[in-house]
Amino acid sequence: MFLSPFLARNRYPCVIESTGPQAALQRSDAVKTQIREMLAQYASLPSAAGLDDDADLYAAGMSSHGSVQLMLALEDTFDVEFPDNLLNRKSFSTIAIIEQTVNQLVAGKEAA
Amino acid sequence: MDVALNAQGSTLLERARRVAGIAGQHADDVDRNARFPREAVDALISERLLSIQIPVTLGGEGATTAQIAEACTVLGQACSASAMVFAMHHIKLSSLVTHGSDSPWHQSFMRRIVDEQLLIASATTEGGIGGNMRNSICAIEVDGDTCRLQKDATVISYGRHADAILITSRAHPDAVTTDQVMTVFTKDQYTLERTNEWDTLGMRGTCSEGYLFKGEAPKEQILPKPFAEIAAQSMLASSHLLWGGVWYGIAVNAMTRAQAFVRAAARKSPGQTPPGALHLAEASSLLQQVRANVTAGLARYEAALAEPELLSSMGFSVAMNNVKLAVSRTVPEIIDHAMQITGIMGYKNGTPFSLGRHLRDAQSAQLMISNDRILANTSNMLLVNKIETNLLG
Ligand SMILES: Cc1cc2nc3c(=O)[nH]c(=O)nc-3n(C[C@H](O)[C@H](O)[C@H](O)COP(=O)(O)OP(=O)(O)OC[C@H]3O[C@@H](n4cnc5c(N)ncnc54)[C@H](O)[C@@H]3O)c2cc1C
Repeated sequence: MFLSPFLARNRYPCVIESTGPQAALQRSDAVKTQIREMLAQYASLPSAAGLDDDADLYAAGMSSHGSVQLMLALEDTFDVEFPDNLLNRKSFSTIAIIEQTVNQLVAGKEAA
Repeated sequence: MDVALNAQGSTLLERARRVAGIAGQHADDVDRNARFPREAVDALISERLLSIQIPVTLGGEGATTAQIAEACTVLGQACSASAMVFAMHHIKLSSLVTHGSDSPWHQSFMRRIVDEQLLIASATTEGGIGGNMRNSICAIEVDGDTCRLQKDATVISYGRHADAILITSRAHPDAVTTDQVMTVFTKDQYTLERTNEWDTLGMRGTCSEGYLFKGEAPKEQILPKPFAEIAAQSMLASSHLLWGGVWYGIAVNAMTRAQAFVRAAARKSPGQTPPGALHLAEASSLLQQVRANVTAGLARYEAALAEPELLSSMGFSVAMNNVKLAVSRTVPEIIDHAMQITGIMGYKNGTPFSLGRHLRDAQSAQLMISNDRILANTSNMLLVNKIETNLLG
């Protein structure tokens, strides 16, 4: 299967290294772009590139099977594990919420 | 558990038992002729059991899922089809109660259910989709204040006898197949053109014929929540638990017959253990597993009701799926043991030990939302959801 270089697994975008509010914003955008690409590739949501951060992914056509494939891809790419209490519909309902969750998990991992 | 009394001072259980008495008298005829269990449903109406789940504030009795499941078990011992009609009606009510309580139209509809003891049917299954109820082909069209829907509904139990149907569809003509809503149509608002017969192996009295459904209603009758939420938060649990109550009841009755057979043999030759006794012991262990599964599921559901996050969690879905799988697989096994015990007397129709109807009815459990589909769904969730490691939740 073709993997875009950006999507190469286990590679966190390099912008993560920089600091400051501007950098945080860029980092957040980069993660959202990655999430969109993963939605298209793993969650059968080709329309993801054009979806707003707050658009309901289930209304856009994401199935529960698709959401699990997305979680697996996120776990692999960001080297995190979703705890069971986040495995509910809400945690995967929008790109913004997914991004927040991933950031929290990454931050938690780095703090540990 | 059973403390609710009606105006005449009977408990829910006593009322359900009276209905079961009537249902049992007609069970063989209902089965033989694949006819609607009219007498049992009339008894449910006169005992006002069709509205027990509706909140007290809307005129109902606020019965819990556990109380309704208990009534399903009582009815299931007498007539599986009557019990299944009762269960399916209450599965629909669970969606109305959980997701319609803030909507004025649905509130007043619930009051109507209480006053008129309306019977509610379900149309999720669709031609071309099968039991994959989280997908729809048909779409509801909203035009001003009106909504219109046409659906190739291949299975609607007691469709012809219902006073209203809760029916799923895509949310609008441009919606993807998983973007669904559920709408209430009352019987003056739709036509049903029969497309499929219901001449089946078992559950013959549910009269689950196929129809081309055409309905038109005020758009406020669309439930104000996405069907995905309704499916996860009320339908999943109430289906598996109330069906579980019915199936457990079928198994209990088979076991009651088998035990009567063994005891009769034991009384004839005191001092000797009858040959069927070991089978009975084996089956009683299976029966206990079924009961434990359903009651643990009920307890888990009652606990999750207080926390909506838990209700839509994967762990909860896996647990409910597992209740359905275990119960639907084990009940036919129990009846098979009962048949080994009763021998030809169980195999024959019309004896006090007959088990043919039980065996045939119980076969439907594995198909009612195909176990293969449920396994596929669970296996997907287990790619991320961890196995529970503690004993006590
Ligand atoms: C007594 C009874 C009453 C019913 N009442 C109603 C009712 O009132 N309203 C209503 O809407 N429906 C009702 N149903 C329908 C029921 O809930 C299921 O939707 C229906 O039985 C499924 O039909 P199916 O087996 O043809 O289809 P499918 O679900 O399509 O399954 C067919 C077979 O294909 C296989 N299969 C297909 N897809 C998959 C997959 N993705 N993963 C794994 N295996 C797959 C399975 O092996 C399955 O056995 C009733 C069914 C019964 C038995």
